[in-house]
Amino acid sequence: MSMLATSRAPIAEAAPAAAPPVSDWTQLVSRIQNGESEAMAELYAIFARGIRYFLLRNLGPVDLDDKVHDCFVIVTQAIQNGDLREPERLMGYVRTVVKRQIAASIDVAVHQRHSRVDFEESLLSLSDWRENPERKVIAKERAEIARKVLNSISRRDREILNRFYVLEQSQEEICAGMGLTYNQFRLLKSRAKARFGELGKRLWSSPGINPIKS
Amino acid sequence: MLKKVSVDTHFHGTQDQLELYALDLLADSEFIRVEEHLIVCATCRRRFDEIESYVDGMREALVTDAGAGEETGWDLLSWLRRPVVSMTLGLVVLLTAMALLNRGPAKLAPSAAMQIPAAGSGTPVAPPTRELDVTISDALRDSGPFRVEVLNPAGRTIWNGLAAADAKGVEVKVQQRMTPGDYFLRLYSVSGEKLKDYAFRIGG
Repeated sequence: MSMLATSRAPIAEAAPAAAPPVSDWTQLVSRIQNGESEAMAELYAIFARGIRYFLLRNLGPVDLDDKVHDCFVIVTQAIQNGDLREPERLMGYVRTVVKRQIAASIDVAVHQRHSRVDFEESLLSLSDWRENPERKVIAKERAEIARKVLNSISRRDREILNRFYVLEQSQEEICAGMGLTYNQFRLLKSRAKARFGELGKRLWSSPGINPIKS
Repeated sequence: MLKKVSVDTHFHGTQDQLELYALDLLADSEFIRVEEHLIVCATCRRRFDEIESYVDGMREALVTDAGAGEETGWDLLSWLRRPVVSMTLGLVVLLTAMALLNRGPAKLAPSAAMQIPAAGSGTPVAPPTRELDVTISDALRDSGPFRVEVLNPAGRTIWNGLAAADAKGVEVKVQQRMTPGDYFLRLYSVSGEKLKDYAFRIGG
């Protein structure tokens, strides 16, 4: 029986695997199929943080460990049962499992809330776990920094940023529409971003301010 | 000591790719590649967090400033409220719009309507738009409300919302810019039960 299937306790986290150049998922998959517990731990070390990251972003912190664990159970069982037909696509398979888990959790949440409260109320509050006061403050601060950046640039440069970030026009559309070269466009964007970074560092290095990462 | 497994982390998305990923504008093939990489690369996750923070802040600042500008602009331009001025301007705008329309169709229409299933046997097709009014005329036992999801060719949900049925069928207003390609529309009951899947195409 696999280590993941028998215990809900997370495997002691090894340092994330370093980044050698060539992928050898096939070898890892075959070692897991042979029952090497070390291979299982390697799988966990490579994927756990990334899986946690996506689950947290999409579903919030509730039952996060359990959800990460569930993803691993699905992946390892698929490997052990020989259901993973293309081992070299392991990374893609893990992504698919995470996506399905997210979709399933959302469906469950919709269903549960429907059975507990009125329909309209449930849908309005379904995905609002990020809407806590602390995050709102951080978002406000970020917008304030961006506003400072915008106030320091010309109206034309501002229009370029507006077209890109708000109107979602492509770089080609913007350059053609405003008579810009590719380099001018990139330069403006990178300057604005650098300025944002500088102001942000100053603000967030102030005592008592600690930006939350999802 | 764990043996290190080699991971294909050669593909660190560029700043542009991560930015487009944050804006949800990355092409589907690249989107999947970036996302798979983010699962295994902590460095890129940190880079993405920073980029996303910037994109969100910039968007919010641009949008709210545009709103504030409109409010103050109204007072500064109060002379526009004079009937003669506003009617003349209105006429000029109308004539300009007519002239522009005569020059050819706009690149991306603001909205279009589409019926599912299509009148013939083929896949329903609509032009690329910023907003799509879909009427699902299939006979459904339930009168709704329904939960609706629109998925792009990679199976990624790009829009979701609610819809109700009337005499014509289920009316859905998809407020999502859609570029040419094959899409799917998924209909759920409010309890989360999947009712039907439909395919449609946004034509070039």
